[in-house]
Amino acid sequence: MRNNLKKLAFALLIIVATSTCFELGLWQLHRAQGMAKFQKPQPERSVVELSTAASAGSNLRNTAFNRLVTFEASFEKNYIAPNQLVTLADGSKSRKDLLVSLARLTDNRAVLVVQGLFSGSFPQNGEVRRVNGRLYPRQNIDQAEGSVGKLSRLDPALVAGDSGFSLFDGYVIATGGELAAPQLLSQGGAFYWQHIAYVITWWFMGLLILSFPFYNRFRDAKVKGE
Amino acid sequence: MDFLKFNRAGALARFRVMANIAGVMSLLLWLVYLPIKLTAENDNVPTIIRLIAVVHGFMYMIYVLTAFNYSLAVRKPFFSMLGYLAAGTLPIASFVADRRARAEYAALTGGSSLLQ
Repeated sequence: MRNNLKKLAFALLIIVATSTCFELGLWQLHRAQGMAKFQKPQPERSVVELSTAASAGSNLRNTAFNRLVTFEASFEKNYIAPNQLVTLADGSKSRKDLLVSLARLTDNRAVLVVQGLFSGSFPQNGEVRRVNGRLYPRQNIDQAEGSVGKLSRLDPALVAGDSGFSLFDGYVIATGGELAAPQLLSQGGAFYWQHIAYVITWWFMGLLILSFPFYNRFRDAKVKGE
Repeated sequence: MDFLKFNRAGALARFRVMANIAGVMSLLLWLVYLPIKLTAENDNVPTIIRLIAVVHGFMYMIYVLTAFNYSLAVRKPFFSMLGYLAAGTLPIASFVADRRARAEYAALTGGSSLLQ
């Protein structure tokens, strides 16, 4: 009985460890895919409502990256995102401070919107307006020091605590219409093949762990064969 | 399971080569890559430095295979084999594993080893 329990516990441990390795590999694969997709030019697709492309409170799907979205919202809070790498109108690349606002949709959902370069003052909030923009995955790497009112990276997780809204993952760069914003270049410092190497490493470790229950059998078979 | 009948001397030789390569890569990872990665502004790490992590990952996989191979060849207990696998993750530990494996092999073959 006790022996059976030990075997069961070992089997469970192997299953958990193997699935963890495969999950970590999948996570790295998604990061690599997202990165590849984010860095190459995308064929433009039709503009969709934000709620069609993404859902509040859940991770942004790879298929939603770079989608042109539209929605009605009122800007509730403003932040500065310092030191963001942007492409200016003349095509030059530069690090600038961006004006980022928390846009509340008609219900209790909200999304981070990059309105443009920060000019030194915050605009008036409150009125409902239509926002057109492009949807981007959240940044994983800090671009600057964070503080009250300053976002170290474009990541809705940073404003989750003081908003009380159900937040969309990622952020929108407002384009056209009454709003304009420079296009961000990349997530910064990402390296596609490094993620692919981690995918291979994690999956290999998963396969190796899967072979552990047979280790003693392999070893004993070898002894018998000698 | 004939495919598991390894030549002990060959298994030790392969393990020793990989233990030293994995050791050097671990040192580079811990002493070069990680300090640069953790202090780089905006994660601006040069590609050549990033390659250390990539190469270390692949070298570690090969190291793990040779450690598994060696453990089977000298009939090591399961947890001892796990120790050999884990040794590739820490700097210096794989050099210690190399020395231990060499001593084990010498004891197993009555002190005669061509791999000094």
